[in-house]
Amino acid sequence: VRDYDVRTPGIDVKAAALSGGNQQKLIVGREMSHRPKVLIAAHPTRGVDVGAQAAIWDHIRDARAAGLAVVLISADLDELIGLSDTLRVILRGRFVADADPATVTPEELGSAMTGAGGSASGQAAATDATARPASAPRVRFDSIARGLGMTRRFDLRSGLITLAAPVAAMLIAALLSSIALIISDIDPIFAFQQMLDYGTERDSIVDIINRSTYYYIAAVAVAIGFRMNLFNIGVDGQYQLAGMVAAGAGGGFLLRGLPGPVLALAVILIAVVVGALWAGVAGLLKVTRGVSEVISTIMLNAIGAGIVAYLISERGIGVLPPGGNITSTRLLPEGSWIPGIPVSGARAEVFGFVFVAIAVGIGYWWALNRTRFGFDLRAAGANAPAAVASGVDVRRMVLIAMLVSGGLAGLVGLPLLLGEYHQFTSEFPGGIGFTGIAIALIGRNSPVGIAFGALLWSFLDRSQQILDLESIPKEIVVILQGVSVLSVVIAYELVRRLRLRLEQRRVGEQLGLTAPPETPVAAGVSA
Amino acid sequence: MSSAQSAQPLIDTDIAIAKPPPARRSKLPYVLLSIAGGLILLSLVRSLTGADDLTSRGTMREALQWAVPIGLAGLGGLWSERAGIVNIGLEGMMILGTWFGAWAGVQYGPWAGVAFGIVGGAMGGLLHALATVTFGVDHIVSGVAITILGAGLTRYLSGLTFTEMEGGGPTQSPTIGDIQRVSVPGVNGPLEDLERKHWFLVSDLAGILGGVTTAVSLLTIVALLLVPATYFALWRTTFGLRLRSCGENPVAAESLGVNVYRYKYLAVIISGGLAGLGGVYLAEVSSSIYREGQTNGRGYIGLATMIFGNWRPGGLAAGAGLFGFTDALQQRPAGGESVHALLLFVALLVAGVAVRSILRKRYVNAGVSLAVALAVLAWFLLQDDVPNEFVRFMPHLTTLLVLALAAQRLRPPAADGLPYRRGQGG
Repeated sequence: VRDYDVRTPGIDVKAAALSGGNQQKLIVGREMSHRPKVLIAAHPTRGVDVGAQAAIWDHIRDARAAGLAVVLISADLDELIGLSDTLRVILRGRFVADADPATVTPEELGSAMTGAGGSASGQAAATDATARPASAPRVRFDSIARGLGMTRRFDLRSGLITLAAPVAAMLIAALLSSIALIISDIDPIFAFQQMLDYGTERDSIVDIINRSTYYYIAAVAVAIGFRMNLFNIGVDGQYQLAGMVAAGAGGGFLLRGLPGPVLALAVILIAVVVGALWAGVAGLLKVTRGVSEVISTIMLNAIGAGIVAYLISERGIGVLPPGGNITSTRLLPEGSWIPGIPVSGARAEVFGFVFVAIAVGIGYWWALNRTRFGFDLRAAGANAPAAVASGVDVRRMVLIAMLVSGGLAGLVGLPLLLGEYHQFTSEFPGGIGFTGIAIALIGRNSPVGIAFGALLWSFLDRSQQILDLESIPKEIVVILQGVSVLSVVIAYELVRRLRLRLEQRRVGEQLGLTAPPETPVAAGVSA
Repeated sequence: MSSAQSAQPLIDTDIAIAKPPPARRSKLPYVLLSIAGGLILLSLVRSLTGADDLTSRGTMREALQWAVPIGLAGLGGLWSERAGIVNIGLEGMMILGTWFGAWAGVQYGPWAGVAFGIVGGAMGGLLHALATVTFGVDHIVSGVAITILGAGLTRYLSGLTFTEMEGGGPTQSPTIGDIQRVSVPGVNGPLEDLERKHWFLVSDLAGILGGVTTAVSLLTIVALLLVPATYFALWRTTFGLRLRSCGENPVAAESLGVNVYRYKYLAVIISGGLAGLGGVYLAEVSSSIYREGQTNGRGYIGLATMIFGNWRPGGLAAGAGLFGFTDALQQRPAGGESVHALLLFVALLVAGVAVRSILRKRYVNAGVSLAVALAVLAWFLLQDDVPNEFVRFMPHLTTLLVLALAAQRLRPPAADGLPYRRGQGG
């Protein structure tokens, strides 16, 4: 206690009662005092005041001079540079950069850690420094990174648990809706059987794929925001305004003359820009005025709906077809229609736009896991203070994420616009944005998960239509959908906790410590 | 140095957080002055434009009627967020309130409807508490899910129940009986005469008083009383202090022996109940049937009202009044004309802000304000009507503008929306 200047009222006070910095000093002292051969020090000076930090550094230097191998893992780049003989940056379990502490600057080190410098893939980084007895053991640093959900190495057990969550949630949802059906005197097995039969007919499958197309894009738009704890509730307003403006411009006299494919591209581009701008209003309000994006996007939905309603009316740019009572924009020239894909045995065609949706999914996966942007996005979502500390400009990220999310939202209405309606009408389907939120939650913001979620939701949407014919209230499906969303998010949260606990135990075993369930590791992760 | 010394600053900061700002003067004169100023300006605009409906008793009555459900939702948000739980599921709880209120109201009379509506909303609150407090789900995620669920459940139940009833259908209920309305005796006649004279200020005051003293539903009075009741419960009782401490610093509250989970549960259930009451009010007082989509985002506006009111009941009530007023204008036959007149009101108000900015030497602010004022003035002069579609989103636009102007001066509860686990303080 004396050597490390631990400030305690007395030697018999329990360690847990001390302040964080003093606890840290105590731990360093405890580890150093049995004269180990190898010391693995993770953030040894975190939460310690400046004076004590210097003292700990001195101790580590002294011990090293006495032949101790030190593996130092730290978020404090100056500490690493000052103390180490060799610096190594680890990305995804591989060494990707070596640096000489005598010459490297914190900035260079930081960019190597995020993967921006030279190495293209950005992943969680741990840096180690080995001292003179060069046979320092390689410890699995990725366990730390994995605690933050940063690595993607597949672990069979946790994979199974992750898969079990949505399945269990769906079972619960099915059970609850069965109970609701039984209460209203309907055989649930019969109802589900009917839905399954009808939902797997060819026409149904085409319809399900078509619905999934726009649901998927909407959900990805929402998920991008979710990944950095940004809630774009405004996808609904964004896609409607974007679809309206794009259809109006495409059918208007300025663009009508363009050759078909060019016009289609122009419509898509306009929709993306309008969607991005509308979402950008919320992003700008958040970064400049601190307005919560949750409230502002909800308000923008209502305002957007009002503007669309005005524009589509005859006082705006809407036209009333003779004998009709639904106003619409002018029909897009036929050349700009995106052709469907015929399916044998089905009357309907699959939207050609389905390829755009697939591209969106691949682009989303790539941007998230293979670019600096994606890394910053996830880092800002997982731990904003840490992201700020490592040089992520969170305000800029908020604005960019909002713009990207809105731009994707602009695409949502286009499968219907370019593939089916070819004009925007006052009856254009609404609410796809809200469904997108639900699907993003079910799919847990992952590109593949969202695809399953979108297909499932579309299946339920489609197959409920048979229920009316059997005089079963089809609204039971809406309950099924609602319950499944709620139980899925609860199941994921429970799984997250379970994995965290397993992880803590594993790390504890590896480090040879018997970690109690509530270790500082848990505090560090949840804080 | 001893440990006592190093621990000292910590304790000091803790106290500083709990202490109100030292130089806090009574804001009452300021508030009264702004109300009077706003009234004079409104009256001036009415005289200039001849949009007499702006301050008529009918408008005021409707304003009150639309302000109450928004205010109730806002109070719901206040209870929950003061305990640290963001409740964006208010909309869903309100939907549950409208349906359960109407369902019971049709069968057992309006007051039974009130009770069932509260219970319906509270069930939504219980679900939210279960998800956020016990299971630690993100508050916004859970709220969104509850809103989806509430809409789905009520649609299913309507199909089951209201279709069987005479006058009902899959999306609406039969007519619900009325709740008694009361008037202050003896003031109706004189006020009405005064209002017809269209005198500057006097007639406006008469219109406002007339609107809020005649044919007021008993449920309105109950709802209005809930504002001071909430203030008393949250700021003047031990219970309220503990509940708010859960929203400011749950770890500290826990260390003092407060059962944080229980308080959070209670707060969110009460929050749901209030939102449910707001829903019943919509079904029974604002109209006399349940209709699908009746809440029309009022739960969200309630939440915005609470933010607008800086997480305090007084500001919340003022915000609800403002939204009720704009909501009422679009329901009135002369709504377009009134909103058009309001453009002048807004132009003058923003011009006032510009003048104040010049006096305070904030020239950038002044420039922006002046530009906005001129733009609105130009709109007022060049057009003689505001399209109905625009009138409809006026409350939302107001919310957005108010938040953009005031958001940085707001102070939410310190631990609002943060996850909390029992024993996380170590």
